[in-house]
Amino acid sequence: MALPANKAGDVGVVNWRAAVWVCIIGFILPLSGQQLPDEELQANFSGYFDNYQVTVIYPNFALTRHLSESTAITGRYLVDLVSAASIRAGTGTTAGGENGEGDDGEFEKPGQSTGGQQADVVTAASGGGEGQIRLSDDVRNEFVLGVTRLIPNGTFALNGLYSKEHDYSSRTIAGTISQDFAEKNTTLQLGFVRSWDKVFPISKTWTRGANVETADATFSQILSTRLLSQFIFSYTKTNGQLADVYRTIKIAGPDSVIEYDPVSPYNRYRRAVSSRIVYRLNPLSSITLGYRYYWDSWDIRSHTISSLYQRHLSRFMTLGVGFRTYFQNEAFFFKSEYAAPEQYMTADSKLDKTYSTQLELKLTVDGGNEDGYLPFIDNDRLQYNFGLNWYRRHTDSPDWFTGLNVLSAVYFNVGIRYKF
Amino acid sequence: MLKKLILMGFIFLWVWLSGCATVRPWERESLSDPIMIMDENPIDSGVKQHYLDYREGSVGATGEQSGGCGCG
Amino acid sequence: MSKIFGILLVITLAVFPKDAPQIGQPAPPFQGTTFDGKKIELNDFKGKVVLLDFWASWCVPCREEMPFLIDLYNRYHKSPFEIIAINIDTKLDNARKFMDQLSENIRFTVVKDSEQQIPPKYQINGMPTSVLIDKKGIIRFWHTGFKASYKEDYISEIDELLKE
Repeated sequence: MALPANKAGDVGVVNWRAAVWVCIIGFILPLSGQQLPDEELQANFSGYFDNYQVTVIYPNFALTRHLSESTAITGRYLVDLVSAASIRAGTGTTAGGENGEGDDGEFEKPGQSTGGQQADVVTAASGGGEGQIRLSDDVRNEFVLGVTRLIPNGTFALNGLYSKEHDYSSRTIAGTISQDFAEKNTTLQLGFVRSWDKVFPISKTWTRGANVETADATFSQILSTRLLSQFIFSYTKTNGQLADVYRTIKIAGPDSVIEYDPVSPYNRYRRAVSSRIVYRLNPLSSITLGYRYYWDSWDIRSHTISSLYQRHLSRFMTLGVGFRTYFQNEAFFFKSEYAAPEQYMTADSKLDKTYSTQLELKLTVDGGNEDGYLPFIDNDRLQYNFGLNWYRRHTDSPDWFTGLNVLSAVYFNVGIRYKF
Repeated sequence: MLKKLILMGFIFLWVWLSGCATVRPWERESLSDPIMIMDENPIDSGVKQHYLDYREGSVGATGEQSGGCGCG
Repeated sequence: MSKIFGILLVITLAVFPKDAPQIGQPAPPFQGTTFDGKKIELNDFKGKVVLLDFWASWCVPCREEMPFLIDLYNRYHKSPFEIIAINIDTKLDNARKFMDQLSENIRFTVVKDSEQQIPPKYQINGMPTSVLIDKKGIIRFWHTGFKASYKEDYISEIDELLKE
């Protein structure tokens, strides 16, 4: 089934008629000796804290059940409770561009500040009056519903996602089809994601769209009884309101500092290739090594190197220690300071020259230990997961709100899985 | 040109390696161990990747699929 | 980009399982030792319908299949029928622990093959693999994997072979 080549003006990375046919075929193909995802209930409580005064608590739940021998359904709910000093700080407004695109496809023209009371920041007010206790400054709810179907020598999965917060909503459809070859020594998986996002900042009067389309291919290969490998290639096209308008650009004028809305190119084309291997060192331990190279049309290039060592401490307990390092250069239009308004301007530190490191610890405790001291450990359907990550990121330019170059963060997770 | 070379290198490596060895079904005891599975807990991996994607300028090729959010 | 994606999609969808080539061929002979320490060989069971099952404790569908094999044995043990379960765990303790956890004891023959010498003779292509051998020692039916919907197929196939 050949897909037609993209014509000028085509938005789609993936031909959507072909994608619909894949969905139809995926549901009528006969079965094979494959396995659906396990029926399980998973609950996690995760938290993120950093020195930029951002705290995020995100409990999430997922349930997978089999509808038949060949079909499984998965539901997931996640809530982000965000507490951020940048949100709680005062409000200013900028006169940005009007709705829709500007000339030549640029999405926005620079606007000028109406004269904010606080010169430091422009943020969104999250509502609530004085004296009210708020658990968070922003809440994002995310709902996912998905179905997995067995096909000959593989699986087909389709997921729908809806995410909503006070200034952003996202509707996403994602699908994967996988196929085994060579006595299941080789697996090819193709995936696609399409998001329709809406951006409606509180400090603005407009609503704008942002689109994301992603296609990826994953090749997994068993190389020996002790070595697995995987290669992934992904291509993402995004367009629309890509700039974060809360992070304004301050340019010194003759008499005052003028704040401008950030402006980014309308399109962004993002590509990445990665490779991972898992090697069994001995009956008790393994090591995973990974490398990713990323490049995009905003001239960002990055390298990610990761490793994870896992060891069985006992029949029921497994410890993992991981290390990740990341390097990227800045986007072509990123500057730490703008002397005058330019066609593209940004204060987003994600687009700055950056390097980061992360240390990860994870502990998995499986139930079924009848000799254990804790009563809820003896159920072999249960699994407990604990994770702790330390993350440190350095940017060449200081952060727009805190003025710091180094972000230090801690992430933790406590989770439980119950297999039916 | 460099990007094409890297991509071709990955594809060549995969095609070459796929012909190297065939592990028979009865030899997979070691591979069934959770420490040999690349994404044994995809939900946990996805949540961790979520905060990295919104602190760094790169996305993709991690094995995770996700939708959008206005995270800054 | 779309062309590459399309080519990969065609490759993905163009693969279908093939029938096992061993059907109609004589079952390869083998010798083994059971978990009870008894030495057996396939020829000992000539004249009976044999269900030869390759399984391991680390294989999830194998674990799901085992209670069904126990039911099958209870259903047919008075007929000229035998189940030979070949266990290929490299660590026999894991197999013993799994068998001890079953709600009903296994009464059919379970052979330990930690050296994994018997599966290559049959060229099995998945786990579990169940092979139905008729009274003359010919492979007649082949099942790879296990699902609840296979149970009726097993029963009708065994009934057919017992009638011969």
